[in-house]
Amino acid sequence: MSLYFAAPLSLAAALLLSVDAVLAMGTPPQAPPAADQPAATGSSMLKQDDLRAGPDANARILARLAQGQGVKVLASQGGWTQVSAAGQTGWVRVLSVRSPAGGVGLGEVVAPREAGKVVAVAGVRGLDEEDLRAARFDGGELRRLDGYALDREEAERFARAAGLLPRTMPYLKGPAPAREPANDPWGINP
Amino acid sequence: MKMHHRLSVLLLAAWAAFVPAQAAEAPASAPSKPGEQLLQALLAGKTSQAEEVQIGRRIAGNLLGAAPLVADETLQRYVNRVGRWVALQGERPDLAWHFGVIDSEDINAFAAPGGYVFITKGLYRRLNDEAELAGVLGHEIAHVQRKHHLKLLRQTQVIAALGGLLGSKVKDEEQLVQNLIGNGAEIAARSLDREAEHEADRMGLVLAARAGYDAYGLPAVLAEIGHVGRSDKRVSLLYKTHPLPAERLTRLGEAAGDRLDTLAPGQDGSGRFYRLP
Ligand SMILES: [Zn+2]
Repeated sequence: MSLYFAAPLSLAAALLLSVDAVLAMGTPPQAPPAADQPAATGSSMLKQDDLRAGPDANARILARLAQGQGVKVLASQGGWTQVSAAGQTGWVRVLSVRSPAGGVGLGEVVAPREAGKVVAVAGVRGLDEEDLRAARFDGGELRRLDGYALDREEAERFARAAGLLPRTMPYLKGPAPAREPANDPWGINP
Repeated sequence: MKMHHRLSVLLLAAWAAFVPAQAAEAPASAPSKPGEQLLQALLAGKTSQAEEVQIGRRIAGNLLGAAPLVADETLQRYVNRVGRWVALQGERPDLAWHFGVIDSEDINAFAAPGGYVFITKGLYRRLNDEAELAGVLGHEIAHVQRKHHLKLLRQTQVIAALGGLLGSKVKDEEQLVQNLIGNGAEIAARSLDREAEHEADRMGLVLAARAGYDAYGLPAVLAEIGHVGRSDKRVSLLYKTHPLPAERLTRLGEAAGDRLDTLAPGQDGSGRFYRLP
């Protein structure tokens, strides 16, 4: 055994001691809420946006609403939310408004869908970490899953019949790439 | 997270030091078993599509062991039609995509390498229309397209391989694949990098829009999930593995900016939407 080999080996041993630490950190507990959490009551502007006369980017601009400004959500239509703010009523982009529930402008007009529904506790099948860890391979279910799969032509036939028209649209860009290296902490991506 | 990163850098440096030393002692020989080939491909980040499917299939089979498919053929076929059509709008249209609704009241969805996508009955029940289903499936399809879970596995295996933890115990190929993914379907309970989740949201929204759906399906689902209390057990795994809905919506809104303004309205498909009995 050369020294050359022995040193890395002990290094490897030291590394193995860290394995649990790293694996444990692979599933970090949910980080505390971001600093800009919504106010406890009422909706507010998630970001600055123009208040427009109609649900359309070409509609006349009535006012500019600042980030954090309180608004009252009245309705929703497509990508737009109708709000009243500072004595005026108009439309802003749905993703510009934060509802008290923590959602966007959609949150208030889309009522919780299960409100009042009694959810049985006993016998309800959950799916937590422990269930997943203990899971045993089920080949029968996997074959059933195979039986439901569609090929490309069948999917295209469905879309045609449904009148779903494909359209080109580039992916939305993420934040500046300076934040991206966290995706590959080991630096081993090809 | 910061600590995790620093440790990673340290490990990476050690890994780099270890590899050439090993090569000097024992000249590289071709892997003798298919199982070893699979491990080496994974470690090198050069998994073939067939190997990716092999790994994903094992995870899918294990997940189905935890929660079987909902016994409703109409539902399963419907979800496959929508999912397959949305998947056709991405970069891997010819993968053998599989979609399934699994019998659990938890509110969650899962993806496994090679094109396996699952949504729980608990989440499906909260959907309002087909555009929302398309958005949820789009998020999972994006994980598959970007191989997010393969990268997570690779990170684990770099560590395991250092100690030769795998090679010694391997009996057959299926056993090795199981060793690769850990216990059961626990990989489905592990968190991806938060940026990977935001990326999947951005891509999922666009994939649904490309498929002809209303682009606001996924945001609507996130807003709806935001109504479920954080202490509700049905969302505990989702909240553990994903950023909170409010944060996801904020980030989606930042990424969207005015880019969706000129998009023609898509279908919500509410007339076609299959409602659970
Ligand atoms: Zn995800």
